[in-house]
Amino acid sequence: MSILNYLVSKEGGGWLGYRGLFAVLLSSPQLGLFVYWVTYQGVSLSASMFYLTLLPMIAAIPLISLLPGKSGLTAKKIATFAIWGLVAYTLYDWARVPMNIFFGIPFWDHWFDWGASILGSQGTIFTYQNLTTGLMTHILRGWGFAMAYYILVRRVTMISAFIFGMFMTVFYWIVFPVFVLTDALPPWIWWFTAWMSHLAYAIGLWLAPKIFTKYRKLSPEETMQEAKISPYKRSRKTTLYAILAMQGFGLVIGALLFGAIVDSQPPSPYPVFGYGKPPPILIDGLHSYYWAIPGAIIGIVFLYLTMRSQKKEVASNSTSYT
Amino acid sequence: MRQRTALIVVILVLVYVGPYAFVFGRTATWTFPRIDERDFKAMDGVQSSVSSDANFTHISKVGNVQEAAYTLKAGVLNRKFLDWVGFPLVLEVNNFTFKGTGIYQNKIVFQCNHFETAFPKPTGKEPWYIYQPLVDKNDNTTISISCSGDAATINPANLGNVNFIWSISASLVGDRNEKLRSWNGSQQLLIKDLTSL
Repeated sequence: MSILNYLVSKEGGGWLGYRGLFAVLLSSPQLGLFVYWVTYQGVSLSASMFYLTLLPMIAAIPLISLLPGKSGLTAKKIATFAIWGLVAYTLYDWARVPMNIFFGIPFWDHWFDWGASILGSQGTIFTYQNLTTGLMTHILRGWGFAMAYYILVRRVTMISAFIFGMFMTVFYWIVFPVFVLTDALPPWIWWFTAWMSHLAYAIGLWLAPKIFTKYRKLSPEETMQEAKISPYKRSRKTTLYAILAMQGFGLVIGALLFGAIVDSQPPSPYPVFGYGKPPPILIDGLHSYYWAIPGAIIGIVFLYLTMRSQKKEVASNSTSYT
Repeated sequence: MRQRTALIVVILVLVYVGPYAFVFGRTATWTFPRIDERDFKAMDGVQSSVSSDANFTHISKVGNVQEAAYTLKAGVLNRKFLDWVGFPLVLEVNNFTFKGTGIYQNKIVFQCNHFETAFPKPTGKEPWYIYQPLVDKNDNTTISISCSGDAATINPANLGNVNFIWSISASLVGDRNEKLRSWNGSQQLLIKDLTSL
């Protein structure tokens, strides 16, 4: 009942109300790219971003000024989210830097494609103009997703940030190998990088409000709004168990997707990305689906530990909060 | 206090732009040189191809002259290469120009002059299962070249072998580079008479 209330509540906005609406409008940069991908670039990125990103953003701007303050979601709050949103994708990109240095992953390869599609470049796509344009769209998407997260949650918690990060990982795991040509046969390191960088993104989501609160005091209005939200009780141990459970189940999803997507492609003699030796996941007899088993075990064990820890907390009314 | 704030701001800005500075730096020092290296290696590895026989297909009347028509195959080989991320591509071949002259006992039997705007290649937008076979298919591309000459020069003796002198030029386009390549050669060409078929 409380979830339903939250979804439709005028006070809280709700996921079916303006929280959901603004989350969709402000995460629209991803929608533009999604259409570009699923049509196999039949729709240029400039067109898809015009209709599915620019127009939603233009709609969002006046709508933000109409937000009712009592919900806690105000124009000022959204401006704050806009600054918080910078941290998540910055950490995401930092996390991928060592993957290029140590494994040679060219994580910016699609930025050239995106830039070329937007600018309609003729000839080579490998120019700084295309790279810069592609980078801008990449930033916009990372920022848009962060905005969607902050708008959807009433309180930023490590667990919800990691759930969101896992959602993004799974989205990435599906869309890229299915619709993006150069990622058609991604090696395991690609899957690992996608997971690891979204993990960093989730940490950024969680960390940003803490950093900004440290350097900026809340106004009396904001303090009152914060006070309205019920005290949050979850120990560090419970949080850790819950995150590990989530990663375990994430490994299940990843292993199943890897098996389903990569195995469905025709075998290739080409070393796409050229990363040297095949990973253990591709050794004959050790099928990727088998990796779902330890994933499921990790998930179930830590889910059990989470529930047990939560139960204990409720009983002992723990005072150690995350 | 102000100095501390300024320092924090500077650090935050550096943290923010850090990955992008890395990308642009790596693009200049790794991506582009790697692309250039692979492009030129691929372009230098391309070979010309001219068939060792030509088909004498028909005779037609052009004005007061009987003109003999021939066809042969010519093109380029080894277009396939791996790009900077190890992804298979085929070199774009544009403005393919073929010229050739068939000579028998110091007489010109036929001449060829062919221009092809662009050779076929995958667009890069196909799904992988379609793209991959297209890359293999377009690795070696030959096209049919039409040649013609005075039918009066044909006799049963020169229908066997003629000395064929040819030249090919084409613009090869890689990921980031373009190069004009040309080849010349001369070879014995076996003429097959298909007019009776």
